[in-house]
Amino acid sequence: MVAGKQTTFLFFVLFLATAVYYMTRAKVGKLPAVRRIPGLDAIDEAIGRATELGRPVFYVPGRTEINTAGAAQNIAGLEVLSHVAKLTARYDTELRVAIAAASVYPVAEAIVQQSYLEEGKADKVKPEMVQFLSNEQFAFAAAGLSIMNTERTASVIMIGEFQAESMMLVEGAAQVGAVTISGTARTAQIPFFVAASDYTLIGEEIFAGGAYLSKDPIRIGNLAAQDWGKLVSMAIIIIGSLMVTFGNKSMINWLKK
Amino acid sequence: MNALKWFGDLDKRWLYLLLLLVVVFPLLRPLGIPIDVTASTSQFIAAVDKLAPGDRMLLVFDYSIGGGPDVDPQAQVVLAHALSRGVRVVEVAFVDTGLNYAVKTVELWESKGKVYGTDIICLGYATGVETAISAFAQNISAVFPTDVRGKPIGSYPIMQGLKTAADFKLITEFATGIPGPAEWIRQVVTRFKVPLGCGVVAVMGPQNVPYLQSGQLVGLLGGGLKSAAEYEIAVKMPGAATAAMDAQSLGHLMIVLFVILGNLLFLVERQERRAAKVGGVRA
Amino acid sequence: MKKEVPIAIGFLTAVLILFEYFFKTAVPAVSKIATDATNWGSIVSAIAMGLAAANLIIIHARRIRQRHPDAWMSWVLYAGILVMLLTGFAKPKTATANIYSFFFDGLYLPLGTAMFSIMVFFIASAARRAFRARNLDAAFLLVPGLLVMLGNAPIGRLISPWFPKASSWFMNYANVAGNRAIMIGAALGMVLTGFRVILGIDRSYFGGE
Repeated sequence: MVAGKQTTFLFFVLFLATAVYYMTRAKVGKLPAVRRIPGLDAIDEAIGRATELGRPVFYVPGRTEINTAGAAQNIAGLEVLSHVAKLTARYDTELRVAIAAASVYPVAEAIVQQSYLEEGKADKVKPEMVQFLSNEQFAFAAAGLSIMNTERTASVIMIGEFQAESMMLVEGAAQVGAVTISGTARTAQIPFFVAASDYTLIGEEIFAGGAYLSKDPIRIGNLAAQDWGKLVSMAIIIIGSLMVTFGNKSMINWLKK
Repeated sequence: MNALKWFGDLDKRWLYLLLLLVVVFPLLRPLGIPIDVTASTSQFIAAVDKLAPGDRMLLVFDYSIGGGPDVDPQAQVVLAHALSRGVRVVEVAFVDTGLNYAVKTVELWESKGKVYGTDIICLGYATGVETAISAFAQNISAVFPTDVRGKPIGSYPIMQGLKTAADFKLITEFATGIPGPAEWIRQVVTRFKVPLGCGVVAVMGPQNVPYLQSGQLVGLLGGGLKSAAEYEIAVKMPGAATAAMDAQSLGHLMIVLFVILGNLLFLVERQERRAAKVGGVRA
Repeated sequence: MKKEVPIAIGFLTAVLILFEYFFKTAVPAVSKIATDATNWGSIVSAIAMGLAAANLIIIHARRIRQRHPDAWMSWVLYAGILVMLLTGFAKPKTATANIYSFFFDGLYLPLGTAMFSIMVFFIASAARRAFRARNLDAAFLLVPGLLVMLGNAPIGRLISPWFPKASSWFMNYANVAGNRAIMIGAALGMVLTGFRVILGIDRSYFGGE
C-alpha cells in the first residue's frame, strides 16, 4: 500500500462496510429515524405556491461540471430535481431548470423527461424547461435573473455547488417576491444562503435530500452511515485533542500512517 | 425613529448611488489609510523568499474574469517578487479565462527584458479541472506537449528536468472558484508533497484557513485585493491593490452602516408590533 | 444494456482509480492506466461542451422562428459565437487575432468584471433587507460578520485596534471550527454519493431512477 494512506484506507473500508450494513437493514424494513429538515419539507409548499399563483418554479441544480469535486453536490441537486419535476408534472406547474455546466445539461434533461413520463405527462415536456444558459459565472447569473424577472417565478429552488453568483440569484429571487429554498455544501456560499434565503440546507443536508424526499430505504440507510462517520470523526477529534494537549502525539502519528 | 423608517422605505437605488459615490471618491482623492500585513501573507512571502535564484516555481492562473480584479493583483505581485529574486516561473492555467491573463503576463515581462523559455514560460490551458490537474501533476509533458506558442516544451531551457509536479520548488495557485486550493491539495500536495501557496477571492478565504493551519498550504492570500495590497506593501512594490484599499475600506464601512441601520429599524418595528399586539389585547 | 453498460464503465473506472490511489506501489503498471482513464474524463467533458453549445443554438433558433420580442438578442448571440469561433483560430499578431483581442479585452473582460462588481449592490440591498438579527442564531451570524468585515478593512484598525484582533480570532478559531465541521460532514456525504453511483444504486447521473 502507498505510504501514508493505510489509516485512510482502513477508515474508508469501515465506512463503506457501515453503509452496506445499514443499506441491508433498510432493505428489510429496519429504517433509521430521520429528523425533519424544514428546507426539504418546504419544497412541496413552494411548488404548491407556484401552482396557485400560476407562475413557474425556477430550479438550479448547482453550477459546476460533473467531473469536479462538486459533482456529488450536483448529483444531490439532481436527485431533488427529480422530485420537483414529478410534482410540477403532477400539478401542471411550469418548470424552468437553469444549467451552467455542459456535462450536467443532458443529465438534467433526461431527469425531467423521466419524471414527467412517470407522471404520465410526457407530452407536457418542453425544450424551454431545461436550458443551458452559460458556463460563464456571471453570464449565467444574469440569464438566471432575467428568467426570474421576465417569468415572475414564484418559487426558486437552488441546491448544489455554487459560487459567487449565489448571492445574486438569491437576492434577485427575493426582489421578485419568490420563495427561495437553497442548499450547498460549499462553505463560502452558505452564509449568503442563510442570510438571504427563506429556507437553507446546510452542508450534508443536501445529500440527505434525495433520501428524504424519495423515502428510498437504501438512501435513508446511507444517512445512518453518514451519522456514524460523523460520530467517529468527533470521537477522534476529542480524544486526539486531549492527547495532544497532554503531549501525546500517537493519535496524530497513527492518522498519518 | 422617523429617520430609520425613512431609511427603510428609501428606494434602494439611492443606496446604490451613495455606495458608488463613497467607493469612487477615494479613488480620485486617496486617503492613505495605513495597511497592516497579516500573518498568512507574511507566510506566503516567506515561502517565496525561501526560493533560491534559478529555482522553478509554478504559477497557476485559475481565475475567471469576474474575480480577476480581486486575484490578478495577487498573481502579479507574487510573480514580480519571484522574478526579482531570480526565480524562474512556469505559468499554466486550468480555467479557460485564466489563460488570457497568463499570456498577457508573459508578454508584459518579455517587454521588461525577461527571456521567454529561460526566465518565464506559459504552457497553456488544459481542460478537465481536477482530472487535468491530476494528469498534469503526474506527467507534465503528457498534458502540455507544447507550450502556448506551439513549440515542444522540451526545447526550452526552463523546462529541462521538469517531469512531474514534484520537480517544482513551490507551486502558487490563484483561484476564484473551482479548481481551487482543495483540488490542488488533493491531487498535488497529498501525492507529491510540494509546497503550495494559494491566493483566492476574499469570499473563499475563510474556507481555506483550515488548510493553512494544518500545514497543507504554506501561505494563503485569503483576503482578495487586501492580501494583494499587504503583499505589495511588504515587498515594497506598491501597485493597483494598494491604491484601491481606501475605496474598499469605505465600501465596507458603508455596508456595515446599512446592516446596523437595517437592524435598528427591525428592532423598532418589532417593538411597535409588540406594543400594538398588547394594546389590541387590552382593548 | 442501456443502463448496465454505463454503470459497468463507471464501476470499473472508479475501482481502477481507487486501486491506483491506495495500491500503486504494489502494482506500478496501474498508474498509467489510471492516468489514461482520467485523461479520457477530460476528453469527454470537452465533448459535452459541444452538446451544451448545440442546446444554446437550438433554443435561440426556436426564439427567432417564433419571433420572440427579444429575438434580436439571439442574433447577437449567433454573431458572437461565429466571430469568436473564426477569429479564435487566428495566428498571434495578425489582424484577425486583433479582432479576437478587441472583443475579448474590449467587451468580454470589462463585462465580466462589471457583473462581478454589481455584486456589491446586491449585497447592499441584502444588507438592508435580510441581514437581520431576528433571533439569537442570526445574531451569532451577524455580529462576527460585522467584526470580520471591519477587521479586514484597513479602516477598521483606525476605528479601533480591537477590530483586527477580533477578526483574526473569529477567522482562526470560530471559522476554522465551523468550516471543518461542514467539510467533514460534506466529505462523508460525497463519499457515500460516489459509492452509490459506483455501485449503480444511484442512477440519477444518467437520468434513471
